[in-house]
Amino acid sequence: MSVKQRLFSYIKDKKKNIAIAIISIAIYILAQLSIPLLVGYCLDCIGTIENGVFIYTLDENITLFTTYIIIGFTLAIIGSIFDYIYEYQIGKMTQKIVYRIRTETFNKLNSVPIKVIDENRHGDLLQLVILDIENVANGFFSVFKQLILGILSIIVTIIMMFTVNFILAIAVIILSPLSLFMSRFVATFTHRHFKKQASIQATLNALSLETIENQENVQALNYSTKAIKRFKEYDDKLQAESRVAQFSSSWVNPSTRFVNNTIYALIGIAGIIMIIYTASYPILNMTIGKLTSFLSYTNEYTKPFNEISSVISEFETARSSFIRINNFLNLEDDIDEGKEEIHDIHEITFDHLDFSYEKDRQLIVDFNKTIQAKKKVAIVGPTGAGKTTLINLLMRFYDPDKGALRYDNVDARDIKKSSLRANFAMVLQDTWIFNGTILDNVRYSNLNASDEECIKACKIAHADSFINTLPEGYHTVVSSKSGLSEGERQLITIARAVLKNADIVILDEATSNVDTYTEKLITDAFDTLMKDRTSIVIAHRLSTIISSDLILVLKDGNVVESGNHHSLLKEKGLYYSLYTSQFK
Amino acid sequence: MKVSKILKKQTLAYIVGPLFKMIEAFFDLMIPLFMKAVIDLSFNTTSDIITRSIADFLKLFGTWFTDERINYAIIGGTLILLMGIIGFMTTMVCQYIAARAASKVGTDLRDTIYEKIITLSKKDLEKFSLNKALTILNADSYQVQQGVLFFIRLGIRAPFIILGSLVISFILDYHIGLVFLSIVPLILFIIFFVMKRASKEYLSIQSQLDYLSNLTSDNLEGTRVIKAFDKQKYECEKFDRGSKEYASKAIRVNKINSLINPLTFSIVTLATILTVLIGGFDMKNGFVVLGEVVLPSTIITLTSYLTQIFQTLILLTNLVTIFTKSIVSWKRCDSLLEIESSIYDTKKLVIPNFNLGDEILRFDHVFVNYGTKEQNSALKDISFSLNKGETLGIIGGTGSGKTTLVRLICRFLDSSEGTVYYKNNDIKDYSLYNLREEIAYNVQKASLFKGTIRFNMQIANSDVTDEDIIKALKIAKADFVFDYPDKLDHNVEENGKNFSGGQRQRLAIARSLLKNSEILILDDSTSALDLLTDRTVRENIKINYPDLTKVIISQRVSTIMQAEKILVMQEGKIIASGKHDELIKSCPIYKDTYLSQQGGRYEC
Repeated sequence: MSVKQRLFSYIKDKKKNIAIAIISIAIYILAQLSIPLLVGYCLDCIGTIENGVFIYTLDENITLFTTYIIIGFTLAIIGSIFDYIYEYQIGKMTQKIVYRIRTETFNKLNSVPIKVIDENRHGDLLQLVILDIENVANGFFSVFKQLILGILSIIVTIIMMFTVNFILAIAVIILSPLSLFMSRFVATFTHRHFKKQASIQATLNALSLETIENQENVQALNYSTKAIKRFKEYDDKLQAESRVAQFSSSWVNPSTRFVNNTIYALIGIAGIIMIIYTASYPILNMTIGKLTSFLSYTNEYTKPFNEISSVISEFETARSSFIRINNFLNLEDDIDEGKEEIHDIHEITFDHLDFSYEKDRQLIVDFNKTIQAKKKVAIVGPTGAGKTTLINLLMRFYDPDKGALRYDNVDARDIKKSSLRANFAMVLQDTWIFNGTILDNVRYSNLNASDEECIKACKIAHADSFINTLPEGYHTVVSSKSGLSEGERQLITIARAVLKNADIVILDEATSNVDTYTEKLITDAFDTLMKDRTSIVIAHRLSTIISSDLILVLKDGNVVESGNHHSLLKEKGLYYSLYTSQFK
Repeated sequence: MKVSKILKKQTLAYIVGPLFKMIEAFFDLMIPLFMKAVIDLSFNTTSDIITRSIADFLKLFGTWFTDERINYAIIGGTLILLMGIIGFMTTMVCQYIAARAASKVGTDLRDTIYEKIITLSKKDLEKFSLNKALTILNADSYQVQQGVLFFIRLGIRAPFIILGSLVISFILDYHIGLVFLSIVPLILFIIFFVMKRASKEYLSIQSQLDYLSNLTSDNLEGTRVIKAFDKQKYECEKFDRGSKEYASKAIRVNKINSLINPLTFSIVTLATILTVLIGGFDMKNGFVVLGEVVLPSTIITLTSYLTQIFQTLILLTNLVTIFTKSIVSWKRCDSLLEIESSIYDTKKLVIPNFNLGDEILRFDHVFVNYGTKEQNSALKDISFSLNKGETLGIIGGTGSGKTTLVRLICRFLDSSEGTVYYKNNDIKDYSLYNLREEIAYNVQKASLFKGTIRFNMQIANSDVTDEDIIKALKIAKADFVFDYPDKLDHNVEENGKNFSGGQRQRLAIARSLLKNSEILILDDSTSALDLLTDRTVRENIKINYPDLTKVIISQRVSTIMQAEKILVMQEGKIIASGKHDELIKSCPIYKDTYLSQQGGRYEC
């Protein structure tokens, strides 16, 4: 969908709201702009100038005068009511649309192929859901609001000015580009310098962040003095840019005031001269009341131009945010073409399988292997050898380029993803704990499980004892960032896997940042979990490896050797050298 | 305290800036009066004192047109234009002074804060909160800068215009003046009432947005788990509820916010109409001010002042928000700048030269108490000594106090009891700078800084030649550098993020070798290297730097087993020490760890 189509799709069903908003704002503007006219009429009721002499006529016109006053009061009230309706309608509509965009974007996060999540920085995707959508709300809709208001009031003001006096009206229309030109000029100039300022600011932030985060290293290196000097250097550049940026942005108000004062003076003097000559040239048709109305309209007329140009930068931000959102929403969904259900898997076969993450970097080439049910499979290899790639294929997070992965002779692509994944329980090294209680986190694998079942799973996973030491036990709220040590997080994810009670388990044994005691708990729990199940383990413990039925040795993403411990030692290949380097 | 010192540097700007601004403000107040005079004079009607004195003033400029009325109009108009031009120019002078002073304050503040953060001990900084410190450096300093900017620009102008307009209205017709006076508090009340109500709601909106942000980041991190458990729908429903709640909260605050415009519009409109009504009746009733009955020109002029009062009031409320925020930020900056470092650096003992085999380091019954919270990482009764050129190995689980122990050597913290002796003197008797010149400390998370490889190497020692660097890189097995076409000039991005963890660790080791220090500390700093490389690096260092004293921390026995002295630590205590062979016999925990790693762990 193009940006326009997308935008239209959001406002399509809001026609009624938009109509109400436009009608309300039209009423408000008419009311607001009738006031100067009424003030002018009132003044003309008070008196007129004849042959250079001001004659009071209020006594004769008292009824008319009071009528105008009453109309004025009424308009003030009606205007404010409709202004409220307008603002309220626009605000409500904005939030409803924001809700739709946000929910759609989040749903999209969950429906795109996992490749998209892997390949994008999480910070960028998060920004899409949170910040970009806020930008759209602030930018698009405030501009929309300002634009309707502005355009309508410009039109009405022009009409009003022509009603009062067409000569002065033409003068104002000729003069008004002055204001527009001035504010546009200031805006572009300012924008350029703020952009420069922001980029220097970003450099400075990066510079300070890397030293502050590693503040202790900086001190250990005795680098502080030099780091401060370097910071000051960039900070001085920022100062110079910020001075220009702030100075140029401070032109907006004074220059607007200046232009307005100029127009006010010119129109005022022209009006006065016209009043003087109206006696001799009736075509000028100017009165003191009309002049008053006119001076107000001059003010009103320039206002929308300034207001619209002041929200232009917000609009630019919103536009680029919306383009980003639109691009993301336009991504292809991860379509699950699989139809078949599968359970009780007896055999997993890699059949001439080729796989790569990027087209030009072939990883797995022509891989053939069969894994029987209830067997132990160990995946070994140096860090970064792509041990998780096999898991990505097994769970169908990714599909092979060529060849096939078969479960009981059914191509994995023909199996429904949810049905396939129901056969697996998984404990990865990147433990995932979400905001919620411990119980919520454990129950995640089986939402129907009772509290007792969850606690039982925790006991099996050896998580029970540490959970009981927490202030609120199973009901302690934990989050991804705080509360638990790495080892404790692993125990909870193991409990989660236990609760799922699946036929096949996928485990990552890596236990960095875990103390010796917890490590023992984890390995015990792993052993329990693997018992009587098909297990596929990213192995780090020798005991796991040696007791495995099949060892897959990976290097640079590809499976270079496979077999059991003894057959691999005999091969004297990579496995042999890894094994001996450890214990030489 | 510190911030006020920085602010005081710009005192001249706070006086001169607003003075220039006042010229414009004064003209802004005069222009409507001139307009009124021109109207009165052009119509040959009666005129009050103000008009007559302006007429006298205008006569000074001579007669240019035969019709006196036209003469007044043209000269008056020209003067009004001139006032506009002069006002604009003086304002711009003020704006420049403001921008200059504010950006200086911003820079001074950032420099001071950065210096504070970077020199503060990590312990003190963490007690204060690192994130808060970063916010203060970036956001709060900017907020104070904005405060200065707007104080010079508008701090004096806004109240002056409002007061001036009110005074003139009272002089012109105090009946109407009273109307103006009463709308000022009314408008202020409405705006502040709405703002207060809304700001409460904003807090709850913000926390709802934080909640959505947490949900999203949980969702992104757990994408595999969610898919594995087939919970996409569940996640979407959870988010949907949160998003709906956010919308309803935002609509609620919008309901309140939408009140400002309509209410102020109706008040100003009613005031305008009242001006005409009261003015009309004052004229009818012959109400005399300034020696004359109220004139129609007075009404025109008063509506101008009303507009000015209203516009400036809106500015004033924005100004109050800016100042409130600035003052809060000011206090936050002070709270950071006032932290006293818990590591004192006052003594300046010269560090003696030691020979191979001399006792370079000694811990004498050292205790570290962090207070009650972090009992497990504190140290209890640590005593040992180390000779120059020897290797000390420290092994123990997480939280056993290994890192705390070596951090004492760098004086990142000080002992609560007992003394650390470096070269036979209390380690606290040396200046921090000199002490840290003698020690090269490597942590697991190696840090590189934006620049080039050469720049990063020179951080350790600015005098090193390219040959020195190349040698150090070779010893640390950072040979990959030589594969880059631009070698030492190769770019290093922030935090060295264009290198892998293992590459960063090797570069950091090379850098600390260049430091020519007495003691090299490797705190789990080869964790990302494979065993072969790890061993090669250690052997290279041993061969090339025989005088260097080494302290190696690891969870792997194989990394430290060759050390002359090994400390086995648990819960902050040394539970055994000695050589590998001795410990295998005497320390069951050491033996178990060794055996379990031999038989149990397999690292490639």
